Amino acid sequence: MKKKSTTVKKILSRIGFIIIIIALWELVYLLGVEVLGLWKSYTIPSPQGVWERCVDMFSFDYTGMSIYAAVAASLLRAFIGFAISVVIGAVLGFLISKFKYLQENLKPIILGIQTLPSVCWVPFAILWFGLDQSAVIFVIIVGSAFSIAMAVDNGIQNVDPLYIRAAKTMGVSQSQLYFKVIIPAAQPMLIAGLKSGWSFAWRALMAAEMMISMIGLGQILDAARSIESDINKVTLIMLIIIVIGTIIDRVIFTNWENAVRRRYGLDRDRK
Amino acid sequence: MSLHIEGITKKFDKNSDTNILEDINLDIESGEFICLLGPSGCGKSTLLNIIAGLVDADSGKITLDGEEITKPGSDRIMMFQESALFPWLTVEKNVRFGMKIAGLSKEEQDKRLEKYLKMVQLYKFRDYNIHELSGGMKQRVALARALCLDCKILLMDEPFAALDKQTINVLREELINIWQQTKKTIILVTHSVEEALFFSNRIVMIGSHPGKVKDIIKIDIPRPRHIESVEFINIRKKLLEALKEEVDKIEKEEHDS
Ligand SMILES: Nc1ncnc2c1ncn2[C@@H]1O[C@H](COP(=O)(O)OP(=O)(O)OP(=O)(O)O)[C@@H](O)[C@H]1O
Ligand SMILES: [Mg+2]
Repeated sequence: MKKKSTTVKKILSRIGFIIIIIALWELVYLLGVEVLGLWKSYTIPSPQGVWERCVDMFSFDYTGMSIYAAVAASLLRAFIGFAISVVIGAVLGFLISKFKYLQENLKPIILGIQTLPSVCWVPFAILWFGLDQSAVIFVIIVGSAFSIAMAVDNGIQNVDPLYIRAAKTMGVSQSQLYFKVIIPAAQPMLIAGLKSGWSFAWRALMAAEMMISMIGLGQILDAARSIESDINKVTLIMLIIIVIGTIIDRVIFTNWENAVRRRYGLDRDRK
Repeated sequence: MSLHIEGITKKFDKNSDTNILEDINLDIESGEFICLLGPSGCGKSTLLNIIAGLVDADSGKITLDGEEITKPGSDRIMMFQESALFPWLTVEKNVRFGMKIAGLSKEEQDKRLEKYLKMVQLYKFRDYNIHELSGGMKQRVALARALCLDCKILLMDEPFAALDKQTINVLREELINIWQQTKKTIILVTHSVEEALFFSNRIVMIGSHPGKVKDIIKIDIPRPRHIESVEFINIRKKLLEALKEEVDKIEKEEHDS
């Protein structure tokens, strides 16, 4: 019971905080734009303007680019790209953990490539795939597969050798060792890897959609600035991108991670 | 079953001129309870790991019922100082793990699960996660997991070292009872003279630098044994002196170098 009331409290306090931020935002807008005239109204969004745009875009008789179609298109691309990244990352990470040669030579190169923001791959993507779906998906993959591969390698390397020895004395075969011991033992790290891989994928997707114009949130965002010069709409789309990214991160990955960590006795806030 | 250890020599550092283990010879008969006793760092765990097949010796060979040991196998189950239970599985699934690997039928698994978890008095806890158990309970689950597999030899590397005195006493009694019931052959590593005296048919003293069999002492004291009893006093004194000699030797080497 106590637990329930504290979560309610937490949620209320968070809602309160958001209300404070919006009120401050409104205040800054009123002061800066309307009272003092410091900024032009088309450079600063207002809470009211964003809300109006929101009601407008989500109504079914909206005539511009459909926000529903954009969200669906972006999500589909993100999932396809992420799924391929997971497969590539898993195979690559496994190979790197398994072969010392790759560990010593390929891993540093991947770590190097990873410092490159994925948007830098857009020129290559366009040259190789044209202004097409596959170009966007390519950018997602280079953005997230390497980070997943590194997490898989890390996860496998960090499995406690004691588990491996214990399993070996019980006579496991090589494949049983991987599927019944190493992968489950590495699970908390693997999930953390998927989670960061997802956030890389989502960011890469937005960058790619803005540059390779194609139905999607990134494209609406870019068009709202360059064609419509509508700062409220730009802000609205940014908020939508944040909300979707957060929901997937929280609802899927964080919950999953917490459930696993609890079962393994790894949760941080245990008293 | 009989275990035959012949001329086992091992060093980890190829450039070093002292071996970790040197020319270890030992024969172990079915149903014996053997303790390997020696100072820290003398190579007890290494020897146990070689018997388990987890570490290769440089020379010499070990045969189990005439067959040479080259790799780990479920005929020699090893128990470690820390429980080595899998935290992603419940108590029950941990105990089933080895039985599944061995390909036992579901009924057989159920039967043994109940038998051995009851033997270590943890049947009620079968749905617990590992992190919900105390250190002593974990070692008992590890013991049940080992007993479920019809291993010929149970290899135990200081299984109670991380526990408190009360728990150790309880577990020692349990282990002796289980050993008498199951008639398993047990090789247990310890650096406690009391523990060795409590358990052993024979104590194998291992000296250090290099690790050699220094002495094999037959313990004929009838069971149940009581650490406080008079029979223990003399032999305990002798063992402690021998152990101290080895510890002093290590200290002296440390001092001279
Ligand atoms: N994997 C390894 N690589 C290098 N040296 C090792 C390795 N394992 C053990 N050694 C060395 O071998 C020696 C014996 O180690 P071992 O673990 O067998 O000792 P022990 O008798 O079990 O000691 P303790 O009672 O402290 O557990 C030690 O000097 C140790 O440093
Ligand atoms: Mg040891």
